[in-house]
Amino acid sequence: MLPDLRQLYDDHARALFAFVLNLTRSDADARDVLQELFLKLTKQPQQLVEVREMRGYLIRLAHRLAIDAHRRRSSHAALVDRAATEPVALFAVASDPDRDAFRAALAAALADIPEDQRAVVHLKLWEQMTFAEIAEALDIPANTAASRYRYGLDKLQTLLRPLYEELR
Amino acid sequence: MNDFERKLAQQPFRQPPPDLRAAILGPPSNVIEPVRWTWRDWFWPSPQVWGALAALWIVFAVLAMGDRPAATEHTAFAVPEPTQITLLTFHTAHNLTDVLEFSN
Repeated sequence: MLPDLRQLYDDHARALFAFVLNLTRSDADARDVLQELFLKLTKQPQQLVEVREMRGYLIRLAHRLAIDAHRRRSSHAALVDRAATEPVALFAVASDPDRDAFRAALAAALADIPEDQRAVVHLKLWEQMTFAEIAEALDIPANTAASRYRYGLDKLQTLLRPLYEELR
Repeated sequence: MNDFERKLAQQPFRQPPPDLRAAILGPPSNVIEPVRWTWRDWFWPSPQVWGALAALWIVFAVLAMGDRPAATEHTAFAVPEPTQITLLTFHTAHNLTDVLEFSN
């Protein structure tokens, strides 16, 4: 039976948007990727019939599209400059200023780690995926996923330690 | 997962823009109510009704003209056939020649 696209959007759009936004660091690219993804699903809904793990499958699709979007953007020097200078609001706004400051620092720190590490860190921390699942979604060996996570997390810890210690 | 990882995982990402859902899935479909037919619709002036009426009138007019008896049946003098006209002309010309010869 073909899944309902509206239901699919309601169930997964938030996670997909967060993942793509974290990867591309561009609101416009995240929108485009999500639109393209759902357009693909609309054109070929039968591809979803055999899917066992829907979130993983959608993240895999979104990751591929995000890489394509990134390549397109990279070939456009002006857009790269814009992405580097414009801070993107990754996290929800917190009512507590300390939390808000930590979120802003975390967003900045995430921008500082390489994209491939950032993807793994995101899926491990915010999607609670196993390394095997991450490996399947990103099309990489599980060991690579694990090492990327370790490197990424170490760098985040280094960048956020002062603020983190302060907030503890 | 250590404390630091837990702390990071607790930070919620922001929601997708509210307009994105409609942009992707389209606006909610407008339910089109079926038009309820009333007797008034028959009498309400409309091009179709008036067109149909005109067409009907033309059909009746053509039928009425077709039923009318042919005019030739009632004429007192039948119109002569072309051959008859030729013969008549020939005889007239012949007679006229005779009269002219006689007068000479």
